[in-house]
Amino acid sequence: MGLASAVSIFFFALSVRSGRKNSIVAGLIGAASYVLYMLLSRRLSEVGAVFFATLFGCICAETVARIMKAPATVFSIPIIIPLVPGLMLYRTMLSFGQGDNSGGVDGAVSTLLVAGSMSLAVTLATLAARLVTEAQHKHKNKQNG
Amino acid sequence: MKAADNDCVVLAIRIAEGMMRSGGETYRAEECCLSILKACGAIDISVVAFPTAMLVSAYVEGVHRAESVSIKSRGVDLEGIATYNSISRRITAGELDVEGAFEELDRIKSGSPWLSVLYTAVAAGFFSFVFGGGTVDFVPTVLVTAIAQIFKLYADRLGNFNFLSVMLSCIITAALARGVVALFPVFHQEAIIVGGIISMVPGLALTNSLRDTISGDLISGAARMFDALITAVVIAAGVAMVLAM
Repeated sequence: MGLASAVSIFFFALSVRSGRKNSIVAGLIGAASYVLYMLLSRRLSEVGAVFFATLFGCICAETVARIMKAPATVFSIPIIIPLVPGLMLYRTMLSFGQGDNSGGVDGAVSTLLVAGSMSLAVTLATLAARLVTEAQHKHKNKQNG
Repeated sequence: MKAADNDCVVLAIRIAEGMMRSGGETYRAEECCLSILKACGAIDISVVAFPTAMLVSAYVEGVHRAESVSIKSRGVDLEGIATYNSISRRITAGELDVEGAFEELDRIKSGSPWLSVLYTAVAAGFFSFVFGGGTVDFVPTVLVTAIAQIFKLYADRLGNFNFLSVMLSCIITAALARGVVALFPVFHQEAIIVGGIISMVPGLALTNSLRDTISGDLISGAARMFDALITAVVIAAGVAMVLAM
C-alpha cells in the first residue's frame, strides 16, 4: 500500500510537472505520511489520523523545500493527494444517487470535517515554517550586528 | 510587444503573472515582483496581485510606469512556479540581467499535454490500489482516466469552460467505469471512479486559498476558496449524475 501510494504520488507529481527529482522526494514523503495515516487510523478517528498525517507530510515538505531550494507547494500538493477525501466524496455522492439522503448527509459532514482538518494541518505547517524562517532571520541579523 | 518595452517593469509583471497562472501563492507572486523591481533600482513600488489580475506601478529612472495584466486561465504547473521563482531569485542576487531573464522566459515550455495525460492515467491506476481496488483494476482505471483526460484536454482547447470541462470528464469517468463494471463484474467500480477523479480534486486551490488567507491576501484567498468549492461540487455532481441513473 505504501509502495502503491509512493508510485502514484510520483506519477501525479510528474503530471503537474514537479520535475523528476522533486517527484521522487514527494513520492517518498507522501508514502511515509500515508503509512502514518494508516497506522494512526487504527487508534484515532479518521479526522485525527488525516490531520496528523497531513501535518507530518507538510512539515516534511516545508523542510525539504528549504533544502532543495524549491517552493514548498511543489512537494506539498502531491503529498496530500492520497489523503484528500476522494473516496468519501464518492461514497457520499453514491448515497445521494441511490436515494439514501440520510447516509448522504452523514457522508457529506464527515467529508467536510476531514477536508477541514486537512486544511488546518496545511495551515499549521505553513505557519510553523514561517515562524522558523523569521526566527532564523532574526538570529542572523543579530549575528551580523 | 515592442522590443523597447522590455524593461524591468514588464519583466516583473510577466514573472508574477506566470507565477499566478501556474498556481503559485499570491504573496510569492507579489514578492517576486517587488524584489525584481527593487533589484532594478525602482522606487515607490506598489504591486497588487489577484488570481484574476495583476497591477504594478513604480518609478523607474524617474519615469512613472504602470502595467496591468488580466489573468484568464489558472492551472497547476509546479515546474513553472519553480522556474519563475528561480529567475526572480537570480535577478535579485545579481546573477541574471533583465535581457537574460527575458531570454529565459521565452525558453519556458508549457510541457507536453499528452505526457501529462499519460502520467495522470498511470497515477490514477496506482491510486486505485491505494483506494481499495485489486490488481485487476489497474488497466481499466488507466484506460478510463486516459479517455476522460483526453476529452478534458480537447474541451479546454475549445474555450475557457473551467468547471464544465471538469464536470464532463467526471461524467465520462463515472459512465465508463459503470459500463466496464457492467460488462466485466470482476472490476471494482468504486476504485476506478475514485482513481479517475482524484487528479481533478482541487487540492492546490484549497491549499493556496488557505495560504493566501493566512498571509492576509483575503480577496485571493476567498477567490481560490470559491474556485475549490465549485470544483468539488462540480466533481461530486458529475459523479452523482451518473450513479443516480
